[in-house]
Amino acid sequence: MKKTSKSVIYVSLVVAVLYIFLVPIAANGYGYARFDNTYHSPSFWYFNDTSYYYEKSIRSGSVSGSNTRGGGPGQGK
Amino acid sequence: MSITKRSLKKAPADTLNLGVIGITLMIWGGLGFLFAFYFSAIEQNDSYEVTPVPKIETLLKTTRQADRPAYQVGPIVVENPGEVFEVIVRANLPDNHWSFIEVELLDNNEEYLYSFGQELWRESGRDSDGNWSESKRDFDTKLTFPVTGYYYLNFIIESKNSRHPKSLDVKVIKRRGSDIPHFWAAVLSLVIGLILVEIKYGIFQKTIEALNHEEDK
Repeated sequence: MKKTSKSVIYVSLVVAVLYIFLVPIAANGYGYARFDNTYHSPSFWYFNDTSYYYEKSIRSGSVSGSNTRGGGPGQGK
Repeated sequence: MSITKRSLKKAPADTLNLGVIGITLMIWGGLGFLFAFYFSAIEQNDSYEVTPVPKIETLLKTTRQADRPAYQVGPIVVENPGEVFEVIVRANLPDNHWSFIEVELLDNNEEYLYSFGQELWRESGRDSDGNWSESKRDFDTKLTFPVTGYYYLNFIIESKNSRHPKSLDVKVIKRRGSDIPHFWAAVLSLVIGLILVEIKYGIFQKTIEALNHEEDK
């Protein structure tokens, strides 16, 4: 068998195995923000302008908040 | 003996054709995009009209489905671990205005898990080229739910001069999975394929040379 034909078969096998390996990872929702027992931020590979906040924003019912540092766009209020 | 020698001389050298391997990788890249498309397929699409709550107000805990406040969407039912949902938020803003939409994700007990958000805005003006108008009216975020159960979304808003849009158009779309792994594997395969094709055939180099030649004329 020619070198090129062999290489095409090897390359195809490697990529096919890679795609099959990635199937369960894709089915489990890889790459996005998630919360199981703890918060996991989105993967580096997920391009999105969204801001994520693990800690709850300060919102105690008053404009001045609770004076403790928290998450959200108004963090550290 | 002399025949063998002659045939050996005539036989072409068995060299590796990088172009063929490159094209093979590009085809696999295309297949990878098909995989990514498969996993980004929509399985369920729900639309809601939400009245966001200003950030300074205290959010209420609700106990019954009928009591769901206007700023809340849910329940999002997660039947299997690892399900992916996309949240799309759209607001109609007045001119020269901004609003920051924060979305809180709550579990079945309405306990806070985490939040996410983006600023939406709309601006217009006039310059030497005439009237211009720019806006960002919507955003989308995909979330993975590793634990089955019921989840809720609270929509909270901060706006310029506290003038909030009356309502938000929200879509919650259940996706088949994540398109990220196969998308990036496909990109990698395609890029390596393109490089190998370029090494073999030099298509881009020839095109650039031809363009430069045209410009010189």
